[in-house]
Formats: sequence, C-alpha cells, structure tokens
Amino acid sequence: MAQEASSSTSSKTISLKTGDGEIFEIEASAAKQMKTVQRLIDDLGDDITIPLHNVFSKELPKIIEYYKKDITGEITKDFEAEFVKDLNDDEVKVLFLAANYLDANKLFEFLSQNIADRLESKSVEYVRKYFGVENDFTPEEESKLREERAWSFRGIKEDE
Amino acid sequence: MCKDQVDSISFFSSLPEDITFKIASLLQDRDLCALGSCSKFWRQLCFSDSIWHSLVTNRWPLLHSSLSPYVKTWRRLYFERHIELGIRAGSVERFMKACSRNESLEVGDYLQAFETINGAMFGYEDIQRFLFKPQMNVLLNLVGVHYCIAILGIRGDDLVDVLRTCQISNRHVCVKWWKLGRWVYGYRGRDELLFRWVSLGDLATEEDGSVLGVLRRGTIHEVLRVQISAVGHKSIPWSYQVTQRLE
Repeated sequence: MAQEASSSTSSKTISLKTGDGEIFEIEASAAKQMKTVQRLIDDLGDDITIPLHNVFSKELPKIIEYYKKDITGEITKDFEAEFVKDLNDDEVKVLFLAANYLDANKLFEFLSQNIADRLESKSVEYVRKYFGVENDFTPEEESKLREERAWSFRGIKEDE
Repeated sequence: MCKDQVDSISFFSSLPEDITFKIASLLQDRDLCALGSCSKFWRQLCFSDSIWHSLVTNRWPLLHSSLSPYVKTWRRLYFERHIELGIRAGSVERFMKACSRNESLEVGDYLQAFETINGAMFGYEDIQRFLFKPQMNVLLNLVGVHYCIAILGIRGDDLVDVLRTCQISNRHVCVKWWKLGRWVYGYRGRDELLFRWVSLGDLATEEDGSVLGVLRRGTIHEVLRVQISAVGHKSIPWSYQVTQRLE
C-alpha cells in the first residue's frame, strides 16, 4: 500500500473535514507540510476524510491556498504581502491558531512575524484586547508600568 | 462572536508557552513592553532575560561582545543604552540649534556634532530612531545621513529606502563654500562661492560624494569657509565676486 501511495502522491488528494462539517480537498504533497494532518493520515490512512475539529471553513481555504503556492515553490514576499493584505487582525489571529494546530510550520512562522508587525506601536489596551488577556494589575501597578514605559520611550506618542 | 471571544481567551491562556514566547520574541522593544504591561503572566514572560539578550545583540552587536561579563540584566542594559543614546542625540540637537544663525551652521560646528555622534558609536537603528525624524532640524538628519555613509558604510538604494520610510528623503540642505582664488603665474584667480542645493535622498545616492567630501574636509587649504543651511540658495548673505552653481 505504501508503494501505491508513493507512485500516485503527486496527483493524490486528501479530504479534510472542518469542525463545522465542510469538506475540502488538498493535494497530498501539500498535506505533508501540515504535520498534524500527516500524522492523522499515517494513523487513519489516506482514503478516509481527515477530521480537523479545531479548524473551520472560514480559515481552511486560506491555508490550503498558501500551501498550494508553497508546493510549486512560488511563495514570494509579494505573495505573502498580498495574502495578508485584506485580513484584519482577528482573521490573522484565527489563521495563526489554525496553523499552530495543524503544525504547519512555514505558515506559522510567517503569521507570527505578521502578528508582531501588526502589533507595532499599538497601545497596551489594544494588545490586551487582541490576545484576550485579563488585566490583573492594580491601578497603582498599572500606572507604575505606564511611567516606566513613558520614561523608556520618551518622545514617542502612544497609539489611540 | 461572543463565543469566539471566549474561545480565544481560553485558547491563548492555554497555549503552550513556547508559542506565546515566539510572538514575544519577534516584537520590537516598545511593543514588548506593551505586551509586558498586559498582565502579570505576560510581564514575567516579557521581562525574561533571553528575549532582551537577543534585542541587545541585534541592535548593538559590538557592544554585546564587549560587555557580556558585566551585565546585570540584559533588559536593564538595553534601556540604559537606548536612553543614553537618546540623550546624546538630544544634546547634539540643542548644540546645533545654539550654534546656528538664520538656520545656517558653520562646518566646524557641524563636524563637532558629527564627532559627538561618532564617539557614541551610534548604530543604524539608533540613527533611524534618533536622527531621522522629520520633525527635527534637517541639519540633524544630514548628520545622520553623513554618518551612515561615512561610518556605517550604508549608502545607495538601501539608505534611500530608509530615508523614504522616515519621510525625510525629500528634505533639502544647502551647502556653500568659499574658495580663495589660487595663485597661478603670479596672478591670483578669482574667489569663488560655490554651493549645492541637494536633497537627503540625492546625497545618499551621490556617485562622487563631492558634497560630503566638502563637509568632511571643512575649512582647509583654499577653502575659507563652509556653511550648511536649511534654506535655499536664493538667500545668500555673503558678498561675492563669482557665484557658481555646481551641476
């Protein structure tokens, strides 16, 4: 069975089922780039539909689009810029979490940098909201931190 | 949407540490501090010395190697150096302001300002953050451009791109210099006032480096006076016999 798979890998597609029940096709060579998917294929075989409980129909097509480009070796800076251009910060975050879940390294690295870039010069409040962090500082601790930041970065205005 | 938010909160606080650390490791200093001000958990993460170690190394590679045995924390070192350089740039700005008349600066003072920056071993990022601000005097921008080319060896398209990003590539300076006429066969030639009105972007791509050469040499040999100004050549205050505009 292994021999069969290798001779037809180039045209073989894998079916992926999202958490909300939709099915998408992806080439086996692209699926290989997502280690979680590959592990599931190894365990369950490549003929059945692979269930991805934590990835949804909103983001999976975008991920597939990325890896379709990757297997042809065509990922350029321009492509990556275009890829994230119309995504808002929350959409990037969801993609990032999906890439992590799928263990899709290249996309994960790219999106981590993109998130770091998006957070540039953002206020503490924005960052907190973005990561869904609960503030557990007292008002005194907060103002002390604010003073520290103002002192370290004199002359730079806060965003918002 | 509410459900998504709840999911994201629990998702992020239950993410493995190496992932949150991954994003933190890619942040710039200011954003890292913002993240560290979000909660106690993030504060502990963002104060971690290994992140600041790599920030120091990336920004000041030479400094890092000379100081490693003495460092208390890398974070402390990072801010001490950052603040020190900011203070240094501020004092240069004030110095240049005090020395200039009608927005013009004599080359001696210009070179002193240049040496102050050079002596503090500003790095490329330091120049961008402290000297390439559009709200500063263009003469300070000029010191930065000159420093990048002469000391850091950064010129051409790379430098122009940075100048554009900092929104200063189109700012202009006027460099004027007064040459005494030379003695040839018993006759003294005419004195000349030469000037160049040039943008910072052009200076970065200048093939022959002639303007920067004039600045670097200062008043020497037949060059009696060199003046740099932020205003255009139309308001030349000197009396002169011959005015030549160099192409």
